[in-house]
Amino acid sequence: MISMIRIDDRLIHGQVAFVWTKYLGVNRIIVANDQVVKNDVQKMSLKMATPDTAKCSILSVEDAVQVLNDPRAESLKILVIVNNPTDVRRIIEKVSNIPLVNVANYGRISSDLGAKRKLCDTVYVTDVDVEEFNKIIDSGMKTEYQVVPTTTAKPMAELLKK
Amino acid sequence: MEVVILLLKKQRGGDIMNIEALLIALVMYFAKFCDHGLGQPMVERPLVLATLVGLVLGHPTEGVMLGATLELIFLGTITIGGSYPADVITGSILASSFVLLLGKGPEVAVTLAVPISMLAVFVYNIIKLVYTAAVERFDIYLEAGRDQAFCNLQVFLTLFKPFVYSVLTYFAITLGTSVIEAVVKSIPPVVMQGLGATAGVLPALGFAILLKTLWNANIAAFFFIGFALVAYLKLPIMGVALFAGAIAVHSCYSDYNLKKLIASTAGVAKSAAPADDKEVFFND
Repeated sequence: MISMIRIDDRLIHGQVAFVWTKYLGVNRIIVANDQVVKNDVQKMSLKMATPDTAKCSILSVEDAVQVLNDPRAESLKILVIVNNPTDVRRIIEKVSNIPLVNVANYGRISSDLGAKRKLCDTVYVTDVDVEEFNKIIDSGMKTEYQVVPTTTAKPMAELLKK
Repeated sequence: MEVVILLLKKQRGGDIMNIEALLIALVMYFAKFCDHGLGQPMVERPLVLATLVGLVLGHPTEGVMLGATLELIFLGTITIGGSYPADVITGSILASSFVLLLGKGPEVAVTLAVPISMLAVFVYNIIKLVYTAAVERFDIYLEAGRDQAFCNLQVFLTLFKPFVYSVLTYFAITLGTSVIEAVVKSIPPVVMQGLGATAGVLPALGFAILLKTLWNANIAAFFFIGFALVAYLKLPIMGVALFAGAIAVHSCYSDYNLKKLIASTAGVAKSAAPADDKEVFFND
């Protein structure tokens, strides 16, 4: 069972390890990213950041889709983390039982901040990103901006309108 | 430290507030530097900071007591990544300074610490603007291959942030103490009693916030053991702390030994076949 997909520049860090993992009660974390999967240093550090209560798998987006569609995944509680809306779209196109897309920190780790549109403190987007977000929302997926569970969730569609 | 203050008092007459404000600003610099410069070494907790403020103001005992009171409220307040619920450092340093300077009790410290810590978050948000803007500068340096300039900026920003807070602290103490005194004086005794009662309840809230993130079946037992020790055995807090310390050391050692044991047995199997994340995902 998938608890949610989260978009986060830093993938696994304090907000994920400390707060969300506990709040959602997940026992598996999938980092789905085609670059990270080839980078041993990044893989090692992400695993170090994973709390003891969950097991972390770092997979390519394609492999993540396969794992999520495996019937055995039903009995697990899974948090999927990606670092861009395009990967979210690629996953939700092929995996059906995803209840929520959680947008948290996006677009801040790049050198072209000036060329981006700021949607809120932690989300900066390009035109391509907006298109991808719209595709996700138009598919009927519940898409919310929320950094940690104690802050209020806002529908992503509302932020995009600004 | 007290001697220094007394000496300066003699020389400069009534100008004592400036020296005290400077010393408190120094404590603030130390705290903010430790927090971000050294990566949250827990030196920046109220227990340590109020003690330091107590030391520089010549009231170490009261400082420790204030620290313990404030620590209970902020126990669950931990800064995680970009989410910044309350500025515990500024809250505890300013609140304990005002209380010690004005000679008030812990209930006033609690009353002041909570709103101050929340207001101080705005300062953080403003500083964050500067630091976010610096990212582009870092990128420019990297692209031009100016390693030294990159390092210098890093060091400058690390030292600059605590400086901002120190300056604010200095002015908060020199200009704010009389204002705070007037505010505290204007609170009618009935309200003050109410605040005292609230100050007594707030630690429970602090605990509740902490337990929300820490609670699990493994440690639940200790929560109730601690409660029973105080409620039924009437053990003083020092006694409970000794028990807790002993248990903590014991479980550290047994965890350490267990980890060693696991590493020595599992190490063989692991090195034989490197784990594939996709293969092992469904394994327990």
